[in-house]
Amino acid sequence: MPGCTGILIFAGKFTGVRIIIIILLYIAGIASTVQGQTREISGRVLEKKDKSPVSYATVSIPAHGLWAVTGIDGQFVIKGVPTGKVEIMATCLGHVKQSVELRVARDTAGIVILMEEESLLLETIEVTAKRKQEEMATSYTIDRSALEHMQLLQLTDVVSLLPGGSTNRAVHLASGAQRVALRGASGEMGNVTFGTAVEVDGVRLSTNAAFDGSNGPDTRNISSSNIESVEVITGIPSVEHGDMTQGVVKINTRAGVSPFIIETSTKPHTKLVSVNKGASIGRRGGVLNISLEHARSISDPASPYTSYERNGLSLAYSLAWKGRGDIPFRLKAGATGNAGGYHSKSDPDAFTGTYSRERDHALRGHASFDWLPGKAWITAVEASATINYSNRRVESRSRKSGASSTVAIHGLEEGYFIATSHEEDPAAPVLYIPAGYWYELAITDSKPLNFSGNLRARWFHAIGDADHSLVAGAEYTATGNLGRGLYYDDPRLAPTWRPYRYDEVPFMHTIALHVEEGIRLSRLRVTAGLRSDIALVRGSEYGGTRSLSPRVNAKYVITRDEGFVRDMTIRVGWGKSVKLPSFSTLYPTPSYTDRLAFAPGTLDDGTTFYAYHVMPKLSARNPGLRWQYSTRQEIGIEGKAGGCTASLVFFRGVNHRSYTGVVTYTPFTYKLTDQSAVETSAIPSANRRYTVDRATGIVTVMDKSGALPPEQLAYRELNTFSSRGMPVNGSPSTRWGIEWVIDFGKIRVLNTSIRWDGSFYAYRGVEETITASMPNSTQQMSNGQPYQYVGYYAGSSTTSNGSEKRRVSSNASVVTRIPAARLVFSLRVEATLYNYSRNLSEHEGRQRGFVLDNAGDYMPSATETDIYGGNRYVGIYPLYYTSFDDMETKIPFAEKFAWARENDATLYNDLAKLVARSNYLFTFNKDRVSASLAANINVTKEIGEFASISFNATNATRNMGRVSSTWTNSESSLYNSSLVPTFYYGLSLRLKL
Amino acid sequence: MKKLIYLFTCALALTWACNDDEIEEYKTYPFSVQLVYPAGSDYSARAGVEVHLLNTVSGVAFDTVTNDAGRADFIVPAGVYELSATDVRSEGGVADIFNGVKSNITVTDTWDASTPVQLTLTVSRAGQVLVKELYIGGCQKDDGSGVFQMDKYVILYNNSGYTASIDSLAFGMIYPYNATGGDAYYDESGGLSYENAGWVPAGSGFWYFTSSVTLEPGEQVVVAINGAIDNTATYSNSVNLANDKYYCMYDIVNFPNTTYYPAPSAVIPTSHYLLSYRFASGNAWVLSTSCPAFIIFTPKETSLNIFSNNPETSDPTSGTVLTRKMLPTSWIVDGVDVFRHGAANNFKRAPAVVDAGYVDHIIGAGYSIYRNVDAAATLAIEENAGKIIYNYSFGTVDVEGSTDPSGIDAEASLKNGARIIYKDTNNSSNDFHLRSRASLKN
Repeated sequence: MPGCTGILIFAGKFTGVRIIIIILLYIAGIASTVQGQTREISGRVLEKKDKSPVSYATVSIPAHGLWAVTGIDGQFVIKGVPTGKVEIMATCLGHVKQSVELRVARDTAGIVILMEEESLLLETIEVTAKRKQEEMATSYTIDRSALEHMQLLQLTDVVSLLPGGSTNRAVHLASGAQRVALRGASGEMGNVTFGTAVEVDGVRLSTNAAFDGSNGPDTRNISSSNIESVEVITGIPSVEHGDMTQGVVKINTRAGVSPFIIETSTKPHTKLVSVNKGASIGRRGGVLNISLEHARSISDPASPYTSYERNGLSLAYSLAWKGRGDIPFRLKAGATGNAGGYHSKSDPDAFTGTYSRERDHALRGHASFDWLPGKAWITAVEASATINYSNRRVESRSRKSGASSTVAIHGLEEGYFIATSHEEDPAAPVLYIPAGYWYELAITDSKPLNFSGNLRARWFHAIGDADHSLVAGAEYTATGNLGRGLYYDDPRLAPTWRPYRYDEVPFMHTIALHVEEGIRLSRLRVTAGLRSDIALVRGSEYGGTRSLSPRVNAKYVITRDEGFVRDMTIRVGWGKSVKLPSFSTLYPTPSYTDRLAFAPGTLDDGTTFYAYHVMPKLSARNPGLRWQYSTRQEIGIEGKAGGCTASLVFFRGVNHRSYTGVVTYTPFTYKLTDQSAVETSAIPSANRRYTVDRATGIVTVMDKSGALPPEQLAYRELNTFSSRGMPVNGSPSTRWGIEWVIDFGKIRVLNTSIRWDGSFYAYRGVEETITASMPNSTQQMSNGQPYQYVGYYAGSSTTSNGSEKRRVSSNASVVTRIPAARLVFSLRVEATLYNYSRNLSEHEGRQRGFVLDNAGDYMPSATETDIYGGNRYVGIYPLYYTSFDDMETKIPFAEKFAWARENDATLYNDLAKLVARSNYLFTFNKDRVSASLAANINVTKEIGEFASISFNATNATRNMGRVSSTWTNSESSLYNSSLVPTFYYGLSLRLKL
Repeated sequence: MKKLIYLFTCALALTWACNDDEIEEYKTYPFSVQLVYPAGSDYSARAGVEVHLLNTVSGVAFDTVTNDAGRADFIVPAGVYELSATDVRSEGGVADIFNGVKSNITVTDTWDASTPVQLTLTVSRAGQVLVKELYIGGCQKDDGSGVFQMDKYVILYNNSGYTASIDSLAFGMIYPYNATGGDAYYDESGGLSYENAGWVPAGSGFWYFTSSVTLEPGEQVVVAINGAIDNTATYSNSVNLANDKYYCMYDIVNFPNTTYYPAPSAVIPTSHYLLSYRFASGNAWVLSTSCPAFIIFTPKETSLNIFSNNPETSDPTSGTVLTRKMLPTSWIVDGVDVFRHGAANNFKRAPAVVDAGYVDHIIGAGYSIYRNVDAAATLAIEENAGKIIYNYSFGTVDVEGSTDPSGIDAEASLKNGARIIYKDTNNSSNDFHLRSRASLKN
């Protein structure tokens, strides 16, 4: 068998790259030994209503990777079509996607595909998310008609159309970042928004170059009016997709010929206007589509000055031609971008000259070049490149003042430094800003950049009823940040801060190789792929890191498209996905511990010559850090019965090694000199000049007049700790659930279809990573000195180190289409039928906390042991502790604490401060929130050929009922509750000219 | 000659007749008194306690003082007497007043002078030192950019007629820090859950004096809570707290936030620095600028250090970040519960035993919370005659605030040499008003 040699050679050293090479050799072997027969098909794509040609439509055979683009006359030709049954699909902007099934036995010409323009005259117009039947993994697509009907404002709104989805609670863009989380929720362990990939026209909106945490991309800068469709992959995606753990959201913007479209939309907080036009550039010049959008959201209608603005531009160009030998080529290029962001500069309520402004500029470019070589050993090739650049400059200009001098610490090196004026020494580690008034302009300059190159080849081959498809590719990605980081416009007035330039942090380079084989044998279809990501992280302990991501999907057709129960299929999938870390994990911003070391009395002019001890916190990079990954499984079954279509998906996923952080403590002693030492000085205060020894911290006062000798001031020594964060891999978190969609078909008499979708979602996460904690910010030793003990806890120094939740969401949608009136009406009732959550306290499979008989107790109850028994006070101990004097000896806490209780009252009192206790009886109670629901109404009406209007009312009944919670055994109103969406309405108008 | 003999004889007879030892009416008797302090009292006999003996028939009064053993000795003629004594012991701003009265003591020939009269004293506690003024809301900055609030101060005042020692006096605040901070300590019936518990939840930390401080009657002490510097150079509406007589809260270790605590003016001696015990998170003792519940107290039967660092004294519902101490109400010398003017969600924090009312406060206008004058008590002091200034004009009634109903301008009267007695009914609604200008700006 071809390729066996390679396997033997590399046995025992199966790195990712080598395995992929072996597979490629193996497949190449197959390719060289198998040849099949192909045919040519050709035809025209015509408008259904007048049989005019549809230009620039894409005709494709998705299963085989073949495609063609119609010319001006609507003609298309596809070569290399395998014999047998194929599904031909025609797509064109503004038209309903059309599929035609064809059995190819010989060269076939004269195929006619009739397409219809999208309009409400059609009975099939979709206004909900539609499951993509042809995909192996669970995925949904939301078309433009559905987006217009729901009056999409921001990408996160589309999640509500997924099974069990609920309406976005953010009613405007000025309320903060909007991130997508698939099969997970923000606030849970596992960085689910970070692990949800978002792509616009194939450009990944990576946040890996961010320094502000592990979060997904803020999607507010994506224009909503030029989105043609959104594809959401919640199942096990192809290995072509990497650097994610939760799934992929793919946004396709308008591309192709389209009329001049003007759209306006208004909501209580937001106004939007956009234009779009797509046209051909001569006969052979290709097609260019341009979109412009302006949206403005205000946070408070009563004070419409603080706003978020979006000014989006989208360009999409495509050109198809045939080269030598009639080989089809296609070039796609485009750019999307935004100039806008949040700002409060015009707020008349703010003090003159003060403002806050957050740029949210984005530029995303993509170019792809694909062709069909027509060779037996290679079907299609695609080369693409993307670039994603953001400018997230945050400016905050504020008015400052001080009655005495303000200290500004800029020192980067350890030591004691006395405050100096900027005029005296601009580079002094500690400066003082004189008393008075001034403006402070802080700028955080972050300019993430990532670009990628991608080469992908596809080989398809059919043998009788069976076929296989091989896709192999390589991808290179570079990620960096061209920003300057935080700085201040005027160095004389910069407060305590240290420069950390993002643009001096090395780029992260990743190379990914992937190969995926798809095999169809009669009713069975299997795809199996492997992806290897190699990350090169220069300038860090991580170096080159490799990871492997195998994924498998299988689908079996149980019943074909005949009979009462038909098109029944079952799907199974398993896959591993790796998420690369963000720069906030790889290159954490250095931090410093600054301790006030000298504080003489303030002089009459407000000047104070403070001295500080500066201690840089050494690099907290963790050489043991591993990349976060998820393993996920899903089983789906779907089919039709009579007029009903149903799908049911069971999924389970575990996020491993999530990026998180722990704190480490290092003891240190510093000297403190205060005014009491100065008071005893014989040198007159007017003649004093202070110096501090950088190494020892001893303060010397000198006589400017020289009359008296220098005096060393008395000091005291203080023992304390320097803390620093360190990135680590957290504990696993598990999610599983069931999603269903049932379309009950159309009630023809009423022109109404009913759909019921929903989800059951369960989550469980317990953080057990050992973390150090000390209450030094709240507690002192019994002798009044700074606290001296460090406790080491499993997961957290609070009583709860995890949580579990279960939720059943149900959405019933009634959609009435009246083609004669060009009207679609939909009513959607969103209900949360079951909403359960509970805090957890566990370690190594056992209960971590213990029951306290009374809130003030420190020792475990002698009678009660179950913290989940209901209405229990709960305490936890650290596993062990160390002290300032001996950080190496780990003393088991429980035993020592029990001993101290009997033998050493002082130690007992001090150790008691490491005991965490729940403040309330209900902390570990089960929280079952009673059912809540809200109804949304959407109406879209076309007025002739050229205009349409949409109206929506969210939470139309303005549900102000009450819900109960078993957590605190209380009731609360749904008014302004996050359990239901806010009541509001919107109106939009579209003109097609 | 006979005439001379006659006169001499008469004079002799008259002289003899006038010997009070022989004439019943003028015969004197030793009268000893022994002061008896209450059982279990921390105090015992001392020298110098004035003892007063009044002949209730003739009105003749005799005064003397005790010796070290608490004994006082008189020589008195026969008669019916009322014996009284008062011993004032002052500590931590509180005076323990020992009073004893014994009436209808008949001194005759049968008087047994060998046994001292036992005068049993009973103790009563009087609030000597009280919060005269609390300035917390700050003032407008000169450039109009907002409010400057790092100039808070409190003035303590000896309202009694006795010298007050405030060495052990401490400062605290009741949680929540703001009256508008929620109803965490309210029970289902809408009442304070600790109303009758004998404690209040004290937040953040405590401040204490580090040197001996005594206040004579009518004397006051200014304690800078923040910014013990001359704030007026930058903020002309603010106050100058750089004064060598002033005290200041300044603990460089526990609260090193130099915005709240710039190094005190060099003119303030370090002996005037108050230090702190911190038991909750934060690098500053963030007394509310709008609506705190401010208290002064004196620890009893334990030290402030032990009380502050003992985990058993923490409110178990408060956790480790916003730890609250269960401060006994019996320790509290004075308190003022402040509400934010115009806010609909003010919650009272001081139980009735500490402060039965509240005072409304307006933030950022340079206003201070100032105690009303007890007009009757003040006018009853004879020495005040001609020294009282009326027509008080610093009220804030024109801005929905309040004013001193006595009409007496306390600060002007003090400067005029008067001794002001402030109202102390344990009810801030009666005892305080909102002053339009901090008294230190006068």
